[in-house]
Amino acid sequence: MSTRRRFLRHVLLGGAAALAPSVGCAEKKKKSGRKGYVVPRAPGYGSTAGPSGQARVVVVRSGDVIGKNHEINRARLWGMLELGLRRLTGKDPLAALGQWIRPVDTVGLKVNCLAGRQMSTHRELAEALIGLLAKGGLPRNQCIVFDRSDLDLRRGGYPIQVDGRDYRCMGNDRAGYEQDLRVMPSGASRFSRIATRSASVLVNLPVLKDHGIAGLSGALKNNFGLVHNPNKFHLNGCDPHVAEVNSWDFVRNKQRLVICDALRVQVEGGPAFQPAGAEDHGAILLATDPVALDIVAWDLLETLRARRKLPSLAKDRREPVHILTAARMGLGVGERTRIKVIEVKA
Amino acid sequence: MTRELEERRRFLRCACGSALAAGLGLPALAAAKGLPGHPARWYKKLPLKRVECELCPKHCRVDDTERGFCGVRENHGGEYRSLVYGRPCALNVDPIEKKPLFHLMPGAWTFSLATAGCNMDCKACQNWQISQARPEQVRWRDLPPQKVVEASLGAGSKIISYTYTEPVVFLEYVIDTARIARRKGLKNCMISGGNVEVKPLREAIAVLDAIKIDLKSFDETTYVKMNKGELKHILRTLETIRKAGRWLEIVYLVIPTVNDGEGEVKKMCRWVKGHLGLDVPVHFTRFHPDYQLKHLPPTPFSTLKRCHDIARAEGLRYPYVGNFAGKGGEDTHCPKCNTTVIERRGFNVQSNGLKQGKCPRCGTAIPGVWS
Repeated sequence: MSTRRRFLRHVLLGGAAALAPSVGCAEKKKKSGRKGYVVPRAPGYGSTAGPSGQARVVVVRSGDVIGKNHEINRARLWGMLELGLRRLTGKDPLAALGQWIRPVDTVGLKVNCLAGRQMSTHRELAEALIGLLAKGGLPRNQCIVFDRSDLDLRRGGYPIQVDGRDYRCMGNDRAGYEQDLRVMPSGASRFSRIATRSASVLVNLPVLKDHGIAGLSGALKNNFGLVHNPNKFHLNGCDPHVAEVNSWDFVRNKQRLVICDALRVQVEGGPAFQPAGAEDHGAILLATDPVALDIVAWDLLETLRARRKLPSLAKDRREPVHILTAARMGLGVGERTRIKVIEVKA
Repeated sequence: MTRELEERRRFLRCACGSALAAGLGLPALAAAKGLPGHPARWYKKLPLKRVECELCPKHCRVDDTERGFCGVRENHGGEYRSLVYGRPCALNVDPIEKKPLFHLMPGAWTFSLATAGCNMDCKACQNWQISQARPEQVRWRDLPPQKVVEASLGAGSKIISYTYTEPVVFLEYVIDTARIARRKGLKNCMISGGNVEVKPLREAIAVLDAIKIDLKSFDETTYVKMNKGELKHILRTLETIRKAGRWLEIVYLVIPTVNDGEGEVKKMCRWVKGHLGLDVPVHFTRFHPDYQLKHLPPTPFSTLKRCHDIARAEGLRYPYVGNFAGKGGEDTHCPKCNTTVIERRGFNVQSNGLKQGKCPRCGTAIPGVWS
């Protein structure tokens, strides 16, 4: 019974989405001349630069999104997210999301909760995105917020929810890893089943953090949470392991959007939360290209470090070379001259 | 008829022992959530709540809330914790020949245990499901050192083996268990890749009776590429064990196209001869496709035989061929009169003619731990 209802709901929602210009598919449909849904082509990373060969990264800042006690102004954050999506795509936020996500999709939102509540992807950010997706016609329970373990998620302030009408939220330890190994030049891993099976679309929601080994923890590094053995990949500044994990077809094809949480940044002493090295920054970064986003995040981190008179990551022998390796592997744009940074204030 | 009976007894004993081991701590089976851990040893504290592990040559610098390469040691606010102390994920009663340790109480049963984790990443690992897993990804039993000893005694084992994965990553547990076991008259042996710092190794040697080291190759580049380790550290471990006077055996897993070159094997045998002496047994064992090397074929017997002959030609007294039953490569011969003193088939000892550790024919002492 529920399956039939589910089917009908999908059909109706899908029909509505296909017809509604606000969801953004109509424009594409017109161009392509195809019937029904406009299935977005698997973006991969080659396409992230767009026809101009330029990647686009939007940095949205707000002076009042974080209060004195680090509480988040949800309404302001929602506005930042909408503005960011608008500037990233030149379209209405729902139309922007409709480019990448269809109502029949199951969306895996990969958050980063390693550092506990103080330095995890803000729950408010994940929930704002889920809210927007729901507004665009995606049932909330087709969103799965996930990270390595239930424990990490709880520590990050997320509720564990495995069923019901609201979004699902669980760790890879609960959902499991694939039995089959995926072998890379630098090692082998079992990947999260949420990423490989449950989710048809991945949205990467990293936190901008200094990292004692990799230099920077951003979009690419966040995907270490997709494998069962990240501890095996921290040699040589996590290079080329980060790039290799990100190079898998399902990661490249499913990951459509990256929204980096820089509301609070761990400028020094990461990836764990160190109060002395953390500061409120009140920003989010949006891109479809994780490499380009990480390049911009790197520059931002260096600026914040310089303000504190901290040595650059290169001087500290922690240059995040994994980002450059990812660019060399064709996973995105790594040349600053080919990245258009759009800075806006909300 | 007598042999059949003996084999049946061995089988029953093994089955009962394993059943006992399996029955231990069953209620404690649980997903390893919220592990409080056990204080780790051999590390130093760094600024910003970081630690540097000094257990193995990797010297992982571990940030707060992160783990080292082994995946079983975690930094909690500058305190390094072992997440596997007293939490084995594999328990079995095996013949000692399975390790293989051929010069340690032949035919004895050994209570074998392992926890999750390893400080290397060998592409040919046969136990990768547990060695390359983190503690929360395997099922473990709550079995503190005292209980291990009790279980071992209950299973009628005379030896406790720390094996299957990499005992170095649970060395605190090994040392504490071995101390208690010794007091109860049990022997202790460790089956290791040998990637360990000298200080913790010496502490382990003090409580162990025998150590088997897997020498994965004799080429530095291959070691880094295939095992994420460094040959020089393994050689240092071998010398340290030998100098300390503990019984040592070496296993060289012969992998086609990886480490089976005649020159490499010869170089290795010469090094063993020059640095460890002629009496250290070297087992050339057969590789079978697994983990990341499923594309390679199993080692042909001819290759193993060639390695064995090279070792003999270099003067090593106890070369063996392993994982290839019935070819005679597992027998122990007297180096002086060539009498077969111990006859083995697979993991079974068919006959043991040793008389107080000596050749029954010429009286030459055969080195080992015989009782």
